[in-house]
Amino acid sequence: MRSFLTVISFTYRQATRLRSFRISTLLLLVLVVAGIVIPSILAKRAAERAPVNRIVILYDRQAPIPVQTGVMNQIFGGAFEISTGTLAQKSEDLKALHDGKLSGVIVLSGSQRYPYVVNYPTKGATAYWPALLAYFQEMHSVQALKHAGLSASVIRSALGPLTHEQVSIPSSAQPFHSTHYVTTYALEFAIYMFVLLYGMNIMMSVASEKSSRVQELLISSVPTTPLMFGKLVGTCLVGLTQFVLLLAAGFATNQMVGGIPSFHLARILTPEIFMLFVLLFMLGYFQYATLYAAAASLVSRVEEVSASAQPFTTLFVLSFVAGLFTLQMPNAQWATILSFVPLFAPTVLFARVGMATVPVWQVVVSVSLLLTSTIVTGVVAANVYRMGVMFYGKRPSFRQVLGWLRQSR
Amino acid sequence: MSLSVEGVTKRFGAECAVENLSFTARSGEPFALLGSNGAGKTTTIRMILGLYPVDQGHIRWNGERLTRKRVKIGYLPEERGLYPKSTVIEQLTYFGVLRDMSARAAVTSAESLLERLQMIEHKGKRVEELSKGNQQKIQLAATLINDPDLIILDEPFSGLDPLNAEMLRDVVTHYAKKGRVILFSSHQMDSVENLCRDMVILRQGKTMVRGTIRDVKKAYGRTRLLVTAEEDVVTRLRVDGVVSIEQAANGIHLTLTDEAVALRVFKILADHNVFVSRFELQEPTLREIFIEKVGGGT
Repeated sequence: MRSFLTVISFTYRQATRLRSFRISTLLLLVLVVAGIVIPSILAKRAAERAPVNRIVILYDRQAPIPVQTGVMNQIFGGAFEISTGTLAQKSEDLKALHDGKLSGVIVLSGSQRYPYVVNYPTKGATAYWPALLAYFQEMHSVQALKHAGLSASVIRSALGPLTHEQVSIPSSAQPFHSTHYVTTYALEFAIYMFVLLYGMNIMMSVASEKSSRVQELLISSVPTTPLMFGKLVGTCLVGLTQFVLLLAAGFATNQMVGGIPSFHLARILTPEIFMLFVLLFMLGYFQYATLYAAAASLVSRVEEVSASAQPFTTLFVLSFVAGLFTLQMPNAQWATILSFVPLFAPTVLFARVGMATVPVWQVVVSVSLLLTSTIVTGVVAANVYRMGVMFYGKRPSFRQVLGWLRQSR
Repeated sequence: MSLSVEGVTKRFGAECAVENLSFTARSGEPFALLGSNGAGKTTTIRMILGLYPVDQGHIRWNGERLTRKRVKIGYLPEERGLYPKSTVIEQLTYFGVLRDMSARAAVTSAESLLERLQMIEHKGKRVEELSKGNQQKIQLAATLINDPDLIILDEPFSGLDPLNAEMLRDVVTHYAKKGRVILFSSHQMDSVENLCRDMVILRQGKTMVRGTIRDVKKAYGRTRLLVTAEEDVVTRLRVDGVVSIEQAANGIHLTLTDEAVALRVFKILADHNVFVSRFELQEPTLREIFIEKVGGGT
């Protein structure tokens, strides 16, 4: 245990002291801050340039239909400020509309014809016209029926809203949280970047220790299992340090500038999903990092390491692509099946959980399979690493590696 | 203290890397493990270190099974490397702590070793800033950081200049006098001959020669004769029992079938009144024995 902790501490200190680590962290911090500040500045400028979101309703003292500002506000969903005025100010308001100081002018004169003039660039205002027209139509009918002498209760029953009930068919009823897309994508990308960046770091670290032959001194000083896992955990902590720094900088900047509108972290990351994210993140990392460490232990020179790890890198990129497709089709059958495949689970299962409602049993089974696979991969990788780090010259064949594993049983 | 390798065999698939190897290395008497490349030296060392399991036989320390938990081992590998970006003191401390020392004890031991190896002024430098020779000294310090009971030195002299090689010899002698068990693997026979008492020569995993260096040489007999004379006597020396004659700067080197031939040669020179300034019957060198046993390829 002591040697395991010593390797973790040394790996961490070694990596964080590197100039490349400091520069990359600084660059990423600048990117994160810029990524939050720039959209926010652009949004503010756009808001400043936008015409005033105000609609004026003009009518005489005797309006043909009753104008209730509260109802109007409901129709416009609060997107526009509704005010009223008299027909006398019509030309003045139309000029204001023309100058972009108003979004729309509704003129209620006569009995059935109500012009609704909008400022063209404020396209949003036209979107409310059908609802507005329906309201005017209803009011107009109420007025007409009142004049015809019908009682209020008859009018209410004749024009009262119909109630409806939505019944969903189970197979297609699984909700699709389209608003979660950006956030889930960002978290998927975080898993991808973390596993790839720090998995590669593990790989390079093992290969450079082996090629520089410092490995010989190491394996004579400490057993290979704590050595390998110490490196994995140490490198993971380096990555987490970088991520925590980036998150802290992102959060602080977000608080200061008001944030990116489509990024709803708090809305998605309920405690349960946050725990699942951390679990998938860590298991995904350890699963691939152990594979990378084993692959790197088989080569004698740093230049050979990419070729040795190529199958695992390809698998991981495929799992990320599958995760991206899952964001679009979280309820697809293939996505459900892939979320049970341990090498795909970290990205695919998280995409499903972020974008749709996944039955709890599926999450439990998928995570259990991933956990078991990570443990098995760790044991196999440790055995390959134990023999691999002592093996120089031509890269051992798959059959040789299987032979080592058989021997270690 | 003693290290006993008893009938040890190691196979990799169908290939037998080490076959029925036995030897004992005792404290204070450096032991030489010799052989050409692929002879099984590194496999033997890795079995002693516990990195490879032994297929047959036993490796014991003072009669009990050797484990790294029980015995402090220092290993200087043939292929050397350090962390280039770390400082000298930092990595020596790291290796010390990995071998169960406290950080403070590791620093103290590192400083004392650096002092001994005349490297103390470099302790704060990164390894990449040091010369190759100085890097090798740091590796020796890393090997000795935990004051090991068993010291395994694989090709310790390779790449060292004469001054550093002399310093290494002093260090080995110092640890031998302290009663440590030292296992030497080297191609530099002169150094082995000067430092070691016992040896084993391996060839393709098989033991070719085993015993004390003195006994092995004695068993080979004195069949080399060096003659330095005032006149050219080469033609006079072509007699029965002389296998070869080589003219060198320090005299004529003769290879004899046996020691008795030397007497005949001496008689011939005396009969011809040749003034002889040197007549020396020599034992074979370890190098010659090695070349004969492993077939010349190192």
